[in-house]
Amino acid sequence: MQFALEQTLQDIDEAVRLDQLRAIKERSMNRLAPQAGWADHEQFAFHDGLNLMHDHMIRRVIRLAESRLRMNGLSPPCSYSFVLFGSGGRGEQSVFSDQDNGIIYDNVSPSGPEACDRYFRTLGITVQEALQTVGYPPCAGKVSCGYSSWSRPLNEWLKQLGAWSEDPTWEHVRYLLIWADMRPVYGDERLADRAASYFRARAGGNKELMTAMLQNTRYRRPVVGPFGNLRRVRYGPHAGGIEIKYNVYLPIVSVIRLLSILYRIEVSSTERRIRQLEKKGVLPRHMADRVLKDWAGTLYLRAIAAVEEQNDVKQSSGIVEAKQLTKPVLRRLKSCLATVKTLQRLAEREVKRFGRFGLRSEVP
Amino acid sequence: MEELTVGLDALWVMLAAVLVLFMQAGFVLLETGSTRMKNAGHIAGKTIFTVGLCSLMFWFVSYGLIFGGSGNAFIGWGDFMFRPPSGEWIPSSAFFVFQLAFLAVSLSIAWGGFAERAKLSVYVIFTVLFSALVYPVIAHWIWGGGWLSEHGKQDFAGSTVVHLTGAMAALAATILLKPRIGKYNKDGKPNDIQGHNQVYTTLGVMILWIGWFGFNAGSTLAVGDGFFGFVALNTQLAAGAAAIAAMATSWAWNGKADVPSILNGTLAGLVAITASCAFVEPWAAVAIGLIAGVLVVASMKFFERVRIDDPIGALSVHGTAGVWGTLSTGFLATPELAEKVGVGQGGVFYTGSFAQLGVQIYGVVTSGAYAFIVSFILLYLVKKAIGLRVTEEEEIMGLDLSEHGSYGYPEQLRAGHADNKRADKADTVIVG
Repeated sequence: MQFALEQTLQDIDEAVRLDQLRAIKERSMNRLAPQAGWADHEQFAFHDGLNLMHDHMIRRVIRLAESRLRMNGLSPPCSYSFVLFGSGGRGEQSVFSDQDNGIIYDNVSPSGPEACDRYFRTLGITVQEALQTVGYPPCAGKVSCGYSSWSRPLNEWLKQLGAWSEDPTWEHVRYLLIWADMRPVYGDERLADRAASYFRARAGGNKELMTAMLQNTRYRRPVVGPFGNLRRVRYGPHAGGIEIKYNVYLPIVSVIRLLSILYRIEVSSTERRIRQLEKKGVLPRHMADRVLKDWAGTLYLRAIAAVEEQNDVKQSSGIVEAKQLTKPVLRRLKSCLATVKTLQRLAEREVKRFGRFGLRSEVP
Repeated sequence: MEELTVGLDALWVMLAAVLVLFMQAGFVLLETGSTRMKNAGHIAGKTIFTVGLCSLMFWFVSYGLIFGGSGNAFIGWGDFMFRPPSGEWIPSSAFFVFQLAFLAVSLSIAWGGFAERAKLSVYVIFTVLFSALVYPVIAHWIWGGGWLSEHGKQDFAGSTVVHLTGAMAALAATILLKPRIGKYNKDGKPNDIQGHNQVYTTLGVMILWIGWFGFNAGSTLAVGDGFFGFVALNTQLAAGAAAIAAMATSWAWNGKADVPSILNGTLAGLVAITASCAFVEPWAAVAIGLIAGVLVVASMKFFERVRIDDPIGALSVHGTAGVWGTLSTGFLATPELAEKVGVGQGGVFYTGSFAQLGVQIYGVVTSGAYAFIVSFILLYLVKKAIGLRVTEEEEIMGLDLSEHGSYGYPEQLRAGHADNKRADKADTVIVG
């Protein structure tokens, strides 16, 4: 597996055409399948390897896009950072992932701001199209470097982050939560780090914003009935299955992200955030162990979710089909659901405590 | 004084008949709202002509087969092409209209199993067959002096006679017609074919609810002792309890209190209390309603799982709840009320005797079996002779257009077609 990964990464780095990258992606993704019997660290290692591959793929696409623009006489007028949001930002992309990305570019350039805007607009569109060719469909929510609202100079990003933080409407909170998972994958990381530091400073200490984010985090689809019954998908090709994405995966991601914003944790992956929260004493040791275990279980459940094809693009349905819901899988799922509940209660307590007394370390 | 009483009773029966006939407006809205826009005009329109046709059939033959004085335990005989005599207790013409409205309700229940795929001609033929060979037999057994009425089967306003009979015909139809296109995937997993207007469906249920006072309270056929008020009270309590129970069950089961479940639950409560409304105490009416509300949600899931496509929930609302309503008197009928109504005896909870429950059980089994088997045979013969179902193309196009030549919602559906044509044109340009 290790050798195969290294070989694949080498193949990606040496590819010179998009169709080669697409072929490598399809070949590798079809082979990738997590095993039910894996230990937690093996589940994490599997997802780390998978995301390393996605990162290499994206970097290679950007390099090829840069070369193409260079051939047309266009070179980057200033430094920039290509960043991933969403699952990519957290390093948790599944085998079938769409694009959630953006560009942060320097606002100081001898060619002037208009030249920068023009170049990065062109680069953003080129990269977005190239990623689509390779097999990453564009984000339905238009969070992508091809859209000018997600490709901006640093000073504009800072202004925008400040404005969203000051006015925490539902939509602004959504944007900020997307931003919270930002991670640079290519270019000048310092630009992304400056934006991330600014975000942490503005969001982490904002009581009104934290309360608004808590509201957003509270939402979950009620998968467990009052009698402990698991509610299944009623209709469609996955009828009888259980929705994992909205019932388990996103609720855990949301709560851990919220606590990370609150405690100004710098890493973006959920696994590392859980470990950091443990270090800060937010999650007691025994609870952190349990959350990590169920997080590994959640990643496994997400990985075995049924795949569906829309407009020739394969994507995860987020639903584990009835035939895969064996007793061990159901046991694992129930454990994950219990952890979701515990975490959501913890997040409520922490945000309330923050509203009254400030952060734990600041309690007199 | 006696004339005044007769006049008031006749007026009450006539008012009840109008209320029960008005339930057809409820069925129009219920069935249309629960199905798709492309079939709306057809579903609404067919109700009108089938009510018209069954009225003629009732006059011609059904009434005589139910109440005709020269019959036997199995079937009535006489009074065909009914001509009312004068100077009697309640004018039998009012009673005739009241009973006719019951047949129309039973038939409208049966149409639930035909919805969105049966040929128009089948509606015509089955109206005649059902009115002559299915409904009158059951109605005679229980209400017309037949063998079940001699055994003391309790069915005050027709949980079995009207609702179960209609539901069994619907079951036979839906089995023979097979599911609508798109209801089930190749692997048998169900898809949700939503009705096009929940407001229509809700209004339909509300109209049926109001009409039910004619159905149940009207079945007292008299106003003198005010017993109709007691029956109405039980009816209302059961409907309310069933609505709440169905909402809670749907929420607990699916995570959402979905509107069709609430509406079907309300109707199930009304169906269940129809047999027992004159035989049970108000607390028991609440219990009957609560159980009906739970049962209907479970039953809808059951039919969906066994791949029986029941577009508007007729099998569960009228069949399952009809069975429960009929059996409920075997448990909960009080000896006093049974004596007052003059049918059967008290249920297990009051008498400790299973006698009445036994009558209810074999009554419901034989009635249900007769209605199902005969409907199945009749529809099978129709299927062999002319076919039951429209063609695949007609079904996709919609029965408004295939059976009647015009849409119930012409503007919306034409606009949809225009959008499709524009999209086709756009595709052509891109490809070209």
